[in-house]
Amino acid sequence: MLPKMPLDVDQTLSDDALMVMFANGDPSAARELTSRHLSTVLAFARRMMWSDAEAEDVAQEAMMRLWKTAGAWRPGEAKVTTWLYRVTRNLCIDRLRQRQTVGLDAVAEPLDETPSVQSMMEQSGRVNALYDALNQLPERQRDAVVLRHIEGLGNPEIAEVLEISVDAVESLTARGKRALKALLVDKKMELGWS
Amino acid sequence: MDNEKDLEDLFAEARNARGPVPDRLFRQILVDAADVQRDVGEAQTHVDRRDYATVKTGSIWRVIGGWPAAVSFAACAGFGLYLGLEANTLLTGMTELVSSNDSLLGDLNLLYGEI
Repeated sequence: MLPKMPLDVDQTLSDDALMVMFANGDPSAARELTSRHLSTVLAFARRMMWSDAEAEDVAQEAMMRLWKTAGAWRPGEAKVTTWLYRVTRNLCIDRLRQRQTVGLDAVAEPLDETPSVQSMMEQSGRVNALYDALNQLPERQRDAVVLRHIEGLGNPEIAEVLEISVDAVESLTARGKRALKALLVDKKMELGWS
Repeated sequence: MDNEKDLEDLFAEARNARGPVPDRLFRQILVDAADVQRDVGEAQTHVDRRDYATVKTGSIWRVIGGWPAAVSFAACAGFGLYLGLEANTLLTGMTELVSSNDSLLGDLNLLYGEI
């Protein structure tokens, strides 16, 4: 059963303020933080995992970690969005590595009755082609390109998410984009490019 | 592919292709949040009660003087007990010493005489 939560939380409040409110036991803060960030976390997890069920698990776990860390949250030290991107990325990487370790043959067919990622995201063949190409990039290059060009993060924020320097982000993004272009050349027809 | 704009358009298309958030997931996350808040609240209450007991015991201890007072009290009690148990022996010993030693009495007389 859902806990009763007032809906009249001030939407101009900062994420930091909401974290403090949550830590002090205010349930309306959880609703507002979830409204603000869940769609971003879920979309990022879907892009990383390419599976709705797993992306939802990751998003739930990331939000759970946010709740658990609220008591120790230091306002002004990190942005909630950056923190969530970092946690989500790490959770996705763990799962992706687990997938590789276990091997696809050993994994039971998922009983996921929800629509596929493709249909849920109403992706065209063009976007699928982009993700196919992105998934061929090295992990860090792919993440840097996704965070910069699809999630729309700035380089300093990406540096925090990937825990590397801003210079390294610039280098990764440039190399990733070059490699992506090279991969997409083969998909000109699919992309409708001349 | 030479046109940078083509790639930017593709990124924009991917950016806009964001699927909906299932209500079930949203609700589950709020339930998780409520659980965490409840657990933290219970833990805090437990700590508060323990702190209260510690503070209460500590303040009484400080009022009665703490460890220095306790050590002094134990020393006095021990000495008092010793005196109580050994009083007879001590007094007898002292009396015998005084009565059997003439020089001591002489010294005392001399002393009183001088005064």
